[in-house]
Amino acid sequence: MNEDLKKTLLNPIFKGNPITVLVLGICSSLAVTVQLKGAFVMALSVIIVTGLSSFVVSLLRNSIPNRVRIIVQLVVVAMMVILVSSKVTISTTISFYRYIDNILWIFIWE
Amino acid sequence: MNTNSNVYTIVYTTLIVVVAAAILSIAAMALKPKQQANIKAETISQMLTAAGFSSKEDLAKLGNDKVLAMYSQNIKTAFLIDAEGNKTGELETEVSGIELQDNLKLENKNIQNGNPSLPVYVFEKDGQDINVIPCYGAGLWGPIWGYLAFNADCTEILGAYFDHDSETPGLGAKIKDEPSFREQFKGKKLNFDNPDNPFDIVKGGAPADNLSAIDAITGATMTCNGLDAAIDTWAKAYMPFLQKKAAAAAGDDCCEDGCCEDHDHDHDHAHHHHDHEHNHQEG
Repeated sequence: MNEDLKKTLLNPIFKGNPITVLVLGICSSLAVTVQLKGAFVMALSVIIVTGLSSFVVSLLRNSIPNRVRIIVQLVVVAMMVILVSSKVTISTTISFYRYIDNILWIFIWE
Repeated sequence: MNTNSNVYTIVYTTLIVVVAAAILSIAAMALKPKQQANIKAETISQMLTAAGFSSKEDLAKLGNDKVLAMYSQNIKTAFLIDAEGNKTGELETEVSGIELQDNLKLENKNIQNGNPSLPVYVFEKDGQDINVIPCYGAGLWGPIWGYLAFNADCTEILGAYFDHDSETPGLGAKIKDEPSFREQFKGKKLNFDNPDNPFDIVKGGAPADNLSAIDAITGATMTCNGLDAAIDTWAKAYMPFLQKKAAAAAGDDCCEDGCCEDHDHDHDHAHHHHDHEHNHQEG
């Protein structure tokens, strides 16, 4: 159990790092290297989106037909991304969410 | 239920898609008023930054209500002008009268068609008028727009602010993110002698003695060309109005700040003779 836990936690950082090893999402990652604030907001958004969408998909998994698994997962993730991004903004203060707005729309557009 | 049957597959995917769309629509509708408020406050902060009342960053920290309050405090009058620069109607100085980006897009089309109805916002700072006019145009990837702030007699640019929809971050987006680009506008003027090209954004650097040109942004040539074209189009449309203001200031020896219709005294009854004298210039 300890080995599994260590693997789950450390793999995405070292052996299976999506950015440096799998070379995925380079454009978005580089775009946030300008400011730490941007990197933080991006990290937070990715955590929220992947966490929530994994949760929803795991709830649905027994009912999804085999042929459309990927499509349904795509729909769920896309919905989460739009909800978290600016066009359907959640907060009402200019400061925090305009900032997220500016950052996130760079990546979604990308 | 067989989850792999055809009927089930079709019904399921339809249901998933409809539910996802419904969730997004409901969220969008529920949040629309707040989004509108944000957009309005954003537009106001852009105008206030151009006019030099504060910086965008400081305004962003204030929150919507304070930004709206700052606008109401400092706005003096707002009106529409037509193609000849004549006042055609008053805009509300209430926040509801502010033209948002969609209106700017419409006005851009009207300018092309030749029958514009353009807004002018007049702020007051330290007793001096600041005239703010918008501009709108096409950048490289999407629309770009902004506000230019002129002094009371519309001969000098006091400040500017630009925004964009989807320009490249780090390049075209610098028209918004880079304060030093905007700083160049201070003290510049529009070249009325050249109505088709009153302002230049020069790639490679503008000559220092050219008061109607600024340096472009390295690596953002297309965006800067788009901004140049936007400023030229809108400056040309506003030119009759700006020239009237400048002429009023030059030929006016009774008002100290230059333009009588914006004199900060109560001009209803006390200075009616000023209105009478300058009637012909208001058209």
